Amino acid sequence: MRNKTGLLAIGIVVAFGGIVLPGCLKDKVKKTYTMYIPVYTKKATVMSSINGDAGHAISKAGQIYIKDNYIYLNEFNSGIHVIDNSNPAHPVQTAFLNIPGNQNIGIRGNILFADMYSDLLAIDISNIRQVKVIDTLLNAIPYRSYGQNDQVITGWIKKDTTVDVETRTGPPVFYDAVGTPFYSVSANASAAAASSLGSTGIAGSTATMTLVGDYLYVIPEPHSLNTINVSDPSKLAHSSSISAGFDIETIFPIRNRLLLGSKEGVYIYSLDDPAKPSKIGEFQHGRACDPVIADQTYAYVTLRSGTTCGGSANELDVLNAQDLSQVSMLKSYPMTNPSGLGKDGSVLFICDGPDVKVFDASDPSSLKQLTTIPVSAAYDVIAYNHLLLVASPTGLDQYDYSDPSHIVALSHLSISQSQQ
Amino acid sequence: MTKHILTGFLCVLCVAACFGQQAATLTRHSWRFRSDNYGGLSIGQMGSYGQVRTVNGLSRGPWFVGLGAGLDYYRYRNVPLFLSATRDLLTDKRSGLFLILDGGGDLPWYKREPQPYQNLTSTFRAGPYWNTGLGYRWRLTDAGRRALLFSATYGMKRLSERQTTVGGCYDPPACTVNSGTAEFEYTDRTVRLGVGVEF
Repeated sequence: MRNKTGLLAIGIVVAFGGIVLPGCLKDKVKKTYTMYIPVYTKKATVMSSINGDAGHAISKAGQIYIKDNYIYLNEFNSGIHVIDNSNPAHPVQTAFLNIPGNQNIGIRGNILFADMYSDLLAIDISNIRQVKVIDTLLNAIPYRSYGQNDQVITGWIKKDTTVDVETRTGPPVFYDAVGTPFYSVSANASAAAASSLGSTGIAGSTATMTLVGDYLYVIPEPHSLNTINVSDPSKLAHSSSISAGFDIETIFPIRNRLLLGSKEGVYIYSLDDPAKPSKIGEFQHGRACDPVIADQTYAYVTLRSGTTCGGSANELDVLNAQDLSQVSMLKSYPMTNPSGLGKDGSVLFICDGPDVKVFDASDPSSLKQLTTIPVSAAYDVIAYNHLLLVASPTGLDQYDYSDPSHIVALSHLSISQSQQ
Repeated sequence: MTKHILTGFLCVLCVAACFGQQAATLTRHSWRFRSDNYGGLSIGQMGSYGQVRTVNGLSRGPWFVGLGAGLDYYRYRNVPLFLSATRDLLTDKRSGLFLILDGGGDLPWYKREPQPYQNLTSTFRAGPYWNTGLGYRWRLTDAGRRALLFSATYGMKRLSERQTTVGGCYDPPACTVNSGTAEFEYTDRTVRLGVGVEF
């Protein structure tokens, strides 16, 4: 009897489960993330307020650029700090150019070229405290088109939000914060290049925009090379856009050539027709992040592995670049986690993990390390006329390397990193 | 969640109300060690996944309380750790129904292995766990302590996960803006069917 009752009870439970429980078997997955809502402003308003507050805090430094006695420091996606460096021991913030979406700087004469998201601005900086936008080339960098035609993003409203997401077994789709740049564009040159560029300035080694003659060359995204005619800064004009390679990160001008550093190697482009660069050579290396610079005879490439770079190489490759159409490996040197680099004469500086390493590069096949400068996580350097500018997330440091074996610290301009 | 806890308790109470009065008077009134061990399936919206659980504790009369641990593969492999209480409802010499009520925490035992291109790191965190339902005991001998067990329960477990991604970038410190964090909370409700043995 009891067995029958037991079976009846089980039957009731099973029936109950079959009818009622299916509704209770819905799984729930909640996702909490930070959403950034763009704040748009009319371009006309932005242009009219480009002269910002000189005391604008430096919170997220990007590219560095020097021209004459000024340091131009990109405030990532916000504008450009202008720092009077007449006395490198006491740099003074002199002006701030409000340029939303700015990541790149290039200067020729008194004209500063800067990107504003997808647009390129030509700015007269004759009076650095009262600059004027003299022309805008719309859609010069089309892949950074975050704004609308007559508006640009000037800020973000941060908002934490929780949503229900569809249940699934795989990893949930992850979206980067809205507004996160998926590539950067920056100005670049080197001390070696600067001397051949007349009145252009000097930038760090991680640039993706550079000035050569009457043309500005831009990597708008990791596979293309855009050429913009800047011979008349008041009439900027598209010149050409070509498919240039894969995973291109940096651009460097040398001897009427462009070296494009990519995660797979170095592409060499001829500027015989400056309006339309043509590929003349290529050097392949293992996958890694790869800024490249060159002098008249050799090219120097740092390979950096890591989460965003892939690969496993951490090294400096010295390439024989006398014939740029046939670049070949000269020697490879192990490094810790190298990033930007710069060279002035026979002195080579490499940002490498916790230090900036200083080498005597008189014989590139046998580099001799002279000393190290303890600047942690330095990401780029400019070395020019015995003045070394080192950019790191915590500040801008300047050194005198008149005696490369005994480098003297001159100043430190602090950067208070923002949380984004 | 409260709604589902109540639903679970209602299930138990209904059955208890129906059969509670018929519960046999047990003759054993001394504490003794008991071990219930199950293997079976967790069945839910995502399908059926294997699970095992063991409860070890003391029984006296119709009551059994113990500490339980398990392994559940539903969605993400996890280890529930819980307090368990059962009460016999219907017994005769060889068989009987009993109520099951478990409550505790759920520990993740799962490591996400994202593709390299995802640049994703993941950390799982523990959450609450409960489980309630009915069991059926079938003793293998009249006097022995060994028995076969059958259970049908309903329960919930919750895990949290923090995912951090780093997007591509070219020049630090710009990289730092290209990272993001998202918190996920997985609340899974399943029916668990098990067979096992009692020692």
